Amino acid sequence: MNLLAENISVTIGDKEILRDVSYNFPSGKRTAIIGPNGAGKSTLLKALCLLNEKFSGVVKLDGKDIRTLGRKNLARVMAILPQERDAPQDTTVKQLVSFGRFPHRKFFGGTTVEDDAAIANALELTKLTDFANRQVVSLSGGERQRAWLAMTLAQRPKILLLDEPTTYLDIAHQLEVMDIIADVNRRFATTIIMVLHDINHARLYSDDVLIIKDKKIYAAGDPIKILTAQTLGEVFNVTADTFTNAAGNEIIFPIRRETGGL
Amino acid sequence: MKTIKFILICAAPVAGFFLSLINGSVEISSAQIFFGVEDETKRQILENIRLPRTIVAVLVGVNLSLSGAILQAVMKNPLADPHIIGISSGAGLFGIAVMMIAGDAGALVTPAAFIGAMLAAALIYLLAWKDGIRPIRVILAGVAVSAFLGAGISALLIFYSDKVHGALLWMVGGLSARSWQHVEILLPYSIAGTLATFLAARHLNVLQLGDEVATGLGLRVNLVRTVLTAIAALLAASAVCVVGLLGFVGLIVPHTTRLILGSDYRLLLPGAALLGAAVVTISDTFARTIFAPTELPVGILMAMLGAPFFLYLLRREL
Repeated sequence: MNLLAENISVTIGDKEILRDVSYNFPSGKRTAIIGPNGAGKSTLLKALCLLNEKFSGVVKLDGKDIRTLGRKNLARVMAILPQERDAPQDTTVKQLVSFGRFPHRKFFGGTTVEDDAAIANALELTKLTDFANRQVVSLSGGERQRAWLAMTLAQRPKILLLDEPTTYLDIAHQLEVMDIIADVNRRFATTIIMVLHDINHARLYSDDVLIIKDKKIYAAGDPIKILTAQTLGEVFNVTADTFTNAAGNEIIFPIRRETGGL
Repeated sequence: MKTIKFILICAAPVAGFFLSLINGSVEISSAQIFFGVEDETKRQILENIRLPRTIVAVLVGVNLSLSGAILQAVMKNPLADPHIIGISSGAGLFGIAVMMIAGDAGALVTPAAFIGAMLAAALIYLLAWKDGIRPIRVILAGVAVSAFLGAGISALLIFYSDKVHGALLWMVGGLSARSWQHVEILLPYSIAGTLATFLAARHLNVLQLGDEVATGLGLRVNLVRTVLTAIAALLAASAVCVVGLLGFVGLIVPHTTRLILGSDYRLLLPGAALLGAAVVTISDTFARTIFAPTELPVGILMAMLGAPFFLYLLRREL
């Protein structure tokens, strides 16, 4: 499915957050949204899935304005993993994942075979099948993140939006989550749009990058070409070195903040 | 284990119902309840005093428990109870005002009380809303709303003390002299409210995941929150009209049910309804017999149980 943002502007109170952002998110690809804190990355993500409705401009899903689709219909094709979330103490992994089927249920309907299959599949993709009956609160940070990710996968979305999916995770769990996301994208051609902080994750795990700076799109396109030491200097005001690792991938490493400028 | 819990929760209201019928100033045995009472006075007492009072206790227990269970999810607040956050006071103020103007006009009182309860709820949201709902702000706003509306009620009761019978009893909440007329007032609201609540169980579950997750799952959060608040207000308002400002039922019962059955609202709601009926019938039986012949309003007993419970939850949850 094709997701197109047209002239998105957001103002909260009297503070302008985004100005006239337009972008066509490539279908079936992984797009990373990168930028300094407060640049408007999360705001853009929230507009794309109508978590925030107070924006001007249009978001089109296969040419249709998502505002006219209805929340439930939208949730059947688009899933979001927000940062702000909560679950009662005694919620099990399986219960949490089964909430992903909510948009597919009829008001008076029970669980269908399709629901069971989607839940089992989501648990398998996130390697949580053995944890199905464990309580979510008893899991480690990485497992818990996978459980929430599994909930969005049970929605069987065509487009998956992730807001900083690796925040607060240690390095191994960060890579694990990124691998699961890459796996889902490959297997089901799910369009992935994720806000990331780590430049190298963006380079290694995305096909497309969108840099937001000062309320606008600063640059967009192939991550390897765009995310260079020079861009880092311009966007984040840091000096970075570039290495080539054993696998032949270029790794960018921020060394220090640039002084003299702002 | 699950079966035992289930049986206990189903048995509790049945036990409460019969305890309430059997106990009192006049002894009526359980055999007499099943096979009929020959003594005419006893029969009168059973049929026209104890039975309606017990049914009112059941319905009030169900209404207040469900109302509390809904408010706790909708306001994201473990301490939400229609009485504590002022929804009952809103219902009381409007209900009494209509009683003053129109006399004891049964049909109009509950709708008026419902409007009062909704206004109180709206006021709480208005005061507590600032980039979403925070539990601590809801409680503080609720305390303020409750105090404000409570003062209004006290003023009305003082100025028109001749028109309101048993004003003091009404303020603490009690079931004394509740009759078939009160059953009739309460029953339609209880049935409609209970059905509506049960239908919303899955929505309440999703709402517990937080507003952003719920929205992402296709729930129209603001619409659902408004409708559910209205149902909670209606349940509380109809109870307030019949028994006055009976507090803490909506706090104690949902939490106890949560401890026993877990937080899945599909189980929690029926469990809370059953346990609510049990708690109010048993508490009322206890309250009216312990200092016999003096009858203690059940509201006093509920407050003595509820206030420490509130503090326990405050320490644990916030």
